[in-house]
Amino acid sequence: MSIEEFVSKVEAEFEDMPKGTLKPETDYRSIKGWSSMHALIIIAFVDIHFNITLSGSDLKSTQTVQDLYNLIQQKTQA
Amino acid sequence: MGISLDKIAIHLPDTSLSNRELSTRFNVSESEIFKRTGIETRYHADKNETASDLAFHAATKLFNDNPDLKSKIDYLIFCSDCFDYIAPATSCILQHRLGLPQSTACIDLPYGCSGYVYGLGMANAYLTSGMAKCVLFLTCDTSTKTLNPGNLEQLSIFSDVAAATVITKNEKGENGFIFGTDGSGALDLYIENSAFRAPVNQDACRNTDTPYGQMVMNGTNVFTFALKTVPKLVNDTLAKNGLEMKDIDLFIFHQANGFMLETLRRKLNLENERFYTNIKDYGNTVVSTLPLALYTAQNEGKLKKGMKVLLAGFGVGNSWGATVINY
Repeated sequence: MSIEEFVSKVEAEFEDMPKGTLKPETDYRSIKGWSSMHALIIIAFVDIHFNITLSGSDLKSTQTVQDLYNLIQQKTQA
Repeated sequence: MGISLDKIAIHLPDTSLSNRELSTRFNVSESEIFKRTGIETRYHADKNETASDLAFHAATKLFNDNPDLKSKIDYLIFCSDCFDYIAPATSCILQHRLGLPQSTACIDLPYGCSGYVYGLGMANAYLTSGMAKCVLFLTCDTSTKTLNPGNLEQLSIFSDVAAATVITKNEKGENGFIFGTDGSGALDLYIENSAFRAPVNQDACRNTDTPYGQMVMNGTNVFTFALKTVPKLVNDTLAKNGLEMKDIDLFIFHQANGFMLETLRRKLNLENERFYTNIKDYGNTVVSTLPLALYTAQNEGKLKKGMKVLLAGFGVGNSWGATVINY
């Protein structure tokens, strides 16, 4: 999955997020209305699509959507 | 040789808590609460009502509907995290209160979300070994008494409901059980200040109005525990029973949280028709979610005699258990 496809699919999981909000460089926790529910949505998305279960501390180690993408790539190749 | 779940009765407390009430109290929209939990209604035991009181009412319904049953009970299991006393076993109190024969063996099973499957496993052992002929399995938690009134996440999920299940031996077919535990995460969901390790804390009681201990939950860790554990649990349980996904008529999982259940359904690639949920109307009733789901699924015509049902419990203690029941 390319970074562009990743960004667009993650965005689609957030029903309340206007299209185009997320970009690779977006600091996703600073998005208006961000809550712990959004973190769970990301964990669920990654689990279903990549078969990787991210932990809370995995998420905390990332800041941007690109960081998240890189972490998944790293874990996929590990 | 295996077990048969012959009859199930349910008792709901009089008091319920709606999303509308939570919305007003916490200034969060009803739709947001529903989106996070998949729940519209949950039930609360009254202040002076214990888990054993609710379980007593569930069992009484069962006996009222089946007058010959009481004299046949020879084993009582009461599964709960909210007992009347540290000692004696609450099941002993229930034996007398329900008027069960004095030949009844009574045991408490201190378990939560996975407790129903653990209890079925115990019943399976008693019945197939000849130790018992008719098991009364009562389940109830009053977890709402440990919730911080200022914690929306906890208040929007947990609920108090009692169930009574009668279990007898089934000569046709076996029930293969899978159990497991990862105690490293046991304190991701627990009742703080509730017993000998950390006794009731008067300051915490004053601050939270929860004199029986205070629930502590790391929702993210509980969620990832379920994602890691449940798909493997399902596959191992199918293998143990010599079955494949297509052989199961209905999958019923512990009704933990609507979002978690939907994520598990998607991960397992299960169609909605074979994945039963009722969390919207009852909330997370801890140890009673599985018998409550069996009861409502049968009433809705979605569960019929002869169906193969995969029951999976997982949660408190980071423990899990699953089996296949020939309903």
